[in-house]
Order: sequence, then structure tokens, then C-alpha cells
Amino acid sequence: MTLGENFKPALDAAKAGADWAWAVLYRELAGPVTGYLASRGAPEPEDLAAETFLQVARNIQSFDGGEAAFRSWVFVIAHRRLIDVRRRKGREPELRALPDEVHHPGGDVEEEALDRLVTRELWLGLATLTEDQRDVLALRIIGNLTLEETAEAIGKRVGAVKALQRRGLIALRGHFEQNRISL
Amino acid sequence: VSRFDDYEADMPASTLSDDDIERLLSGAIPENDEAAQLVAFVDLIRAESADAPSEAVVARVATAAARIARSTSSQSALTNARPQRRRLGLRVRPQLVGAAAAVFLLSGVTGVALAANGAAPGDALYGIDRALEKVGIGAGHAQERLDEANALLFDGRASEALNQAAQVFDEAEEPAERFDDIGEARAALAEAAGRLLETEKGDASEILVRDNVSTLLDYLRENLGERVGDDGSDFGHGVAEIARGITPEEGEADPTPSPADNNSRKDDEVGGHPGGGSGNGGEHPGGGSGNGGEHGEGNGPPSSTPSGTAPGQRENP
Repeated sequence: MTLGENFKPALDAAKAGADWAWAVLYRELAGPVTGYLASRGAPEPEDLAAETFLQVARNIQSFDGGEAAFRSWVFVIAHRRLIDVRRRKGREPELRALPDEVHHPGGDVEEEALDRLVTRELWLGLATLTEDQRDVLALRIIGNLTLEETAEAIGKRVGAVKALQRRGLIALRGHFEQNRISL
Repeated sequence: VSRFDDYEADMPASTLSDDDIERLLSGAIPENDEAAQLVAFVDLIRAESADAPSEAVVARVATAAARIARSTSSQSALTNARPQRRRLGLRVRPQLVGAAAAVFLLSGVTGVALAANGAAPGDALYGIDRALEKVGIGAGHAQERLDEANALLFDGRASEALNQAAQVFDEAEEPAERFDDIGEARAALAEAAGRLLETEKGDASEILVRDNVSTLLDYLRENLGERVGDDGSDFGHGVAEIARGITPEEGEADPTPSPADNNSRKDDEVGGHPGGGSGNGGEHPGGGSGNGGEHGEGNGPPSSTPSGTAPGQRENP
């Protein structure tokens, strides 16, 4: 998040109910929040991101803190909404489908084919992780949350988060090694 | 230090330290070989970060969020007071506005999508009949919700009213297997709201839409709880029948929705319930009797049928 010194005025205005302030906050965070939800298998990530923000608005009066704290708070709520959706669906989310083949205009064909192969392998590797491991890695990487913020978002201890991300990454590397993928 | 923690006891052997991981995840170039091999993975995950939403979506979310924030800042002391009975002109609880706004937002998106698809206006609530049949809504505060929706409608806030009605589905605490059904009904309502947004451009059709929504809400209110555990098809048909008539054909001033015409031919019950066109023999689908005493105010909230037009329009000329 890059609001810097503009964050505090925006937060105050948001609490007072100014449209512009909410637009600033949403513009800033909707991308990563949506990305996080999408990567974690939310069926309609854009909608869920919007709902997340309405929940944020409902509780904004009780929020007090800086930009980083706000960011992690938003992800806490997004993660809870995600859990709600999973629970309602009554099943574990499926790993999102392999992304459509990315076309790089002007790229050479061989390179593209290689890219696709690597991407595919990455996705397969991701599928070998546990839900918790994927949650943690997505929050860390897409949400850009710190260890502490991630721990708060998923309701675990910092040590547990460390262990989850470490295990996940080691498992991934193992997968790549086994399949002789060099990245 | 952390590698001696108990939960790391059976951690696979690796040279990956926590510091390496921090560097890797923060996007710095890791010195550790194992970490370096994972850079592409991190990049891939990071690429999942969605683009910022369009300005239209930003504006819609921001407006709704700001409204919620305003309502919580000025009335935080009142937020937990849920009205026990319908009161006209009541202030809807902030949480309601918020939740309703969620549907509103989403429906806005859906409405645009619908327009892009060139969907027929009559399809506004397509699928809601089936959905409602399955859901058998009626638990919780459904009646209240719909009463509140009617109050909104009375204020001329048709879209909000419809969204308020959508709350029924939000709040229905159904067993997990029913969730998809609720979702379906919600989606249908949201689509209807989307149609409303499109229609509400201030032309003459707005009044008609309002009347029709009023009819739908009234119908829902009176029939909620009637169909639980029942086969529910009459109810569903009734809703569908009304729903199809909510939005007039584009640029068409004729208030009589054509789908209702086919059925109402057999239906001579003038002034009867709006569901009367559902082809179930002229008796309105909710069964009509036995639910009147449940809401003490009677069946006719002032907003329900302004000048009685909505149900009447469904009858044969």
C-alpha cells in the first residue's frame, strides 16, 4: 500500500463517510484482495472483495491504526469471508483452474511453449500443498502481509505461519526437483 | 532459533532458513540456492494479484461503503435496535443498508452484463421461481425485511427496496445443501435489481417498475412461510409471474406484461392477488388465507399497491 501520509486523512474521511476516501482505499486494496480470493478458489472473487469492503465499512468506526494495520485488517476480513464461502459450499475449494495460456505478442514460439510448460508445472506443484500452506503463501505473496499480519489473518501463531510457509516452499521445491523442472 | 521449535521437529531437511524465506517472499533476490529456485513460483503467485477494478466498480463500492460508514458514525448507538414491527418511514438499520448494498453493488455489475448480453427484460427474475421453490424461505426475519423493503419503496426507492428483499436470502440460515438454491434466488433478485438500475432513468416506466416491484414484495411478504415443507411450486410460479413483469420492454409504455396475459385469461378474480396469473386456477398461489393474522397490520401496507394498479394490470382488459 502506498498511501503513506495520505492514509490518515483518507481513513478519517472514510470514517466520516466520504465517497472519495472509500474510493481511494478500495482502489488501493481491491486488486490484491481480489487476487488473494481468486487464488484461493473463491467462486466470485470480485464480488467477495466488494463484500469484504462493505464489511470493512461496517466496522470502520472501531478501527484505529496505521496503513499496514489497516491492510492486514482488510485481509483478516477477506480471509473470514473466504472461510464462510468454503463452509457454505460444504467442501474444500478446488485449486483454481490452470490459467489460460498467456500470449506474449511478438514472443517467439519456442519460448512461449516453454513458459506454458513451466507455468503448468508450477500449478501442479501448488496443488501438492495443503490448504493452510496455500493460504499462508497467498497472503504473504499476494497480500504482501508480514508474518505477524498473516498470523493474525488466519488466526495462528507466528511460529505456525513460519512452519507452514517453510513446509510449503520445501514441498514445492521437491516437486520441481522430482519433475526435473528448472525454473 | 525457530528451527528448534517443536512444530519443526519433522521438518524436511533443507537449507532454507527463515531469513531466506523472508527475502524470497519480499521479492528480494535470495542468496540461498533453494530459495533462488523458487523465485519463479513467487512471481507466478504474485501475478495472481488482480488488477485494480474499473472506476465504475470503485465508485459503486465506494458509494455503498461511504453510506454504511455514515450510518454507523451517526447512529452507532442505535445499530442494534431491530424494529419489532413494521413502521413506515423507519430508518433501516445500518447493517441492513450495508448488506443490501452488497447485493445492490453486485447487481449493478450483473445489470451491465445483462445489458451486454441483450437479455430480454422479461428475464429479469429468471430462475427465481425454481430457486424459491427449493429454498422454502420463511425463517427468521423475512417478513420484517419485506416490510422494510415496502417502506423503502414507499419512499420511491425501488432499487433499494428490491435489495432489501434480497436480504431475505442473505439472512436465511439454511442447511448447507440449500445454499446453492439460496444463491440462485439471490442471483435472480440481483439481476432484477440490475434491470431496475437500467430502467430507473427517470422515464415513465419507472413508476410502472415501482408498482410491479411493490406487487412482488407484497406477494413475497404475504406468502413467505406458507410454503415451507410444501411442494412450493405455486408460490414459485406466483413469484415468477410477477417477476417477469417487473421491467417493461425497452421503450414500451404498455404496463401489461405479456407473460401474465396468457394465464390471466382463465383468471377472472379481479383485484385478486398478484400471483393470480400463475395458472393455478385463479386462487393466488400463497393459499390466500390463514396468514393474514400473522402480521398484525393487515395485508395492505400503504406502499403495497399504490392505487391498486399493479395487480390490476395483470387482469384482462
